Amino acid sequence: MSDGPESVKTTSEDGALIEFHKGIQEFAKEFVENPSYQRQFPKDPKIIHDPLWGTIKLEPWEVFLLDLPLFQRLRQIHQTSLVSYVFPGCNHSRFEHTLGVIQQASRLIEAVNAQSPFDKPRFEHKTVRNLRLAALFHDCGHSCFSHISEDLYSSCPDMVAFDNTDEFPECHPHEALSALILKSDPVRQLIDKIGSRYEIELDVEKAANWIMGKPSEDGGSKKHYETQVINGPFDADKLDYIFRDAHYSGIPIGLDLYRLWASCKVGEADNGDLVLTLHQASVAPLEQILFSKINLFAIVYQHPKVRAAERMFQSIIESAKKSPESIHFNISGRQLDLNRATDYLWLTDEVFFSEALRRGQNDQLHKRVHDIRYRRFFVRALTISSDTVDNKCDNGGFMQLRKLNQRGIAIYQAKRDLAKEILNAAGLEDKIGIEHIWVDLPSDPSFGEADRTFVRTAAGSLRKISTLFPIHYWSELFQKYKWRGHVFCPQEYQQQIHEAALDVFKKQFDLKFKKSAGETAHVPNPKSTD
Amino acid sequence: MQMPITAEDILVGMFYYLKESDHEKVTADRERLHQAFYKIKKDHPNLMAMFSFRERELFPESTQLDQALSNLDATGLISRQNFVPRYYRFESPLTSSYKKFSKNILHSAGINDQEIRAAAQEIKCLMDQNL
Repeated sequence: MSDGPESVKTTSEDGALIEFHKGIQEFAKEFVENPSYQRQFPKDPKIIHDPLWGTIKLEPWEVFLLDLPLFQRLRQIHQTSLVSYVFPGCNHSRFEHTLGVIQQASRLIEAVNAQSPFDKPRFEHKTVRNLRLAALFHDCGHSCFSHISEDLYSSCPDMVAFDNTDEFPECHPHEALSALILKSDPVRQLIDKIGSRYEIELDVEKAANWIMGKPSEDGGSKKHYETQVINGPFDADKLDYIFRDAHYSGIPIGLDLYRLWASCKVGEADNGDLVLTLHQASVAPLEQILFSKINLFAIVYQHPKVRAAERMFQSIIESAKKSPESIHFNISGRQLDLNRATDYLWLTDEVFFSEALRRGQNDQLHKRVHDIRYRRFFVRALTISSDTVDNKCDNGGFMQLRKLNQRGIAIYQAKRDLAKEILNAAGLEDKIGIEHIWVDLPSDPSFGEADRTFVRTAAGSLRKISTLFPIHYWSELFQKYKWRGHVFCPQEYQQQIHEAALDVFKKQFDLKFKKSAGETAHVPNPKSTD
Repeated sequence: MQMPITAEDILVGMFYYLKESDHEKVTADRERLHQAFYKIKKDHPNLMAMFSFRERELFPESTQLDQALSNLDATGLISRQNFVPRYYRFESPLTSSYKKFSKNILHSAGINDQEIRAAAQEIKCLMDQNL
């Protein structure tokens, strides 16, 4: 945030880390502590109707928290980024998803408790309450268009500085932000007040650790089963998002949740850790989860138009980072500095779009944002896949290009450098800027769940599901036959960029493409590499 | 244009040296592989700098390792064999890929052949020990 002389900019990592923590506190202060938003403590529970799960009952303390701007802002963040421009029903928000996760967490807990002796439930009241607290806060660290902005703020110096500390347990950046918001002073103070008012105990530390996937310990063994309700192979988050995203995108999926719940029990792994397990005869729901996830990636999340829209959003944010004086976003009179990760917490989809509405029609930001709003998306100039690469050429070159689907600042820069080379090779550097050319190489979805799910065999032992059924084959098939990378550009330059991309990839990687690389991208006059 | 060094180049280098010493394959058991690379990171932090491991799971897991194996597999440098136990077999394009691309990238990043060779030897020992 550019807020005058108090804003100290240092280049050292320590300085960036101080700024990072300060940014979290500032955000929490505004969205939790601001006196103009204070409400009375509700006396009664509240019933909310959800189109997927039906009745969701919230306790009065949860209602009080949910009414805070911290959670209400989630209504302004689409769950699935810009997917709604391709799948029009996909307009659901992180707010609905949060409610769904609370509900799914409760169902999972009830299912496990139903397998325990009546007087000795596996999850006691106190733990259930803390897990619901974790479910409520698990996505509060999300920013504009959810995961796309996550990729953008991950490279900010303050996030990188935090990333390098021991505090960061290799979780997703938004999970770290959610946990840190929960642990911030304004939230802790409010949680203390809630505890006194409702005479309940809420453990902020535990809930924050669960959000980041860190298990509690009990006499040397780790209680993974608690964490796994929020952050595990078939956690409440996954159960809700797979169902919700599939439902609203109109992609029907089959998932037998009742069978999953009926079989879910805590078991002891070889090392003594306690984990959620399924019975051998009931692994089908987990296979269904993984298969549905593959389908959602292949059909919805990695749809070429969705990826094109996301790159357009990315190009606007990139410009805002480079020239904050010409492209900036404001909220509550504050100008956001998008070179600070914590400033993204203030940026919602609504803030992003509304900034363009306040500008004249000839304004650069007005046009670029409206290109997204009115669906004037980039088009494909080249499709990169196992099927479009000429199999007579060197596989090493294809691997060198494909490896740019890893994450990291150097990799991001390499993709931008490639885009620049393509632009120059097309001879268009005087006509359009680099912000209009993108080499897009999506990461593969992770299928590590198969190695994290334990199955109880008929003999009573625990085995990983991957040893019973080779789910890896599905991911292999996805990587080989479904994965698509692209070069995106404005429609009017599609042919030139197509030909230039073929030249650049040949020169850089000795990589040749078949004519289908242009045909599948609907290039007017598709070529193969000479 | 200089390509950045990634987890893929490290794998290509290590697998190249394994292949060169007549080892044609490495296990495809995900847990064993991740544990072995986690151990190698402890011994060769510089070489393995771009691999990060989540230690919160039942065994340490690396997103970069998963993605790199997937990329090598998808581009035909290695292939998984359809039997149990399953292996990643080193295919012939692995050699040319190392010589043509990864070798230079690794050298530019200050990683010498000796270090890669040592890490490859360690992988072999860890696999032989049946972790």
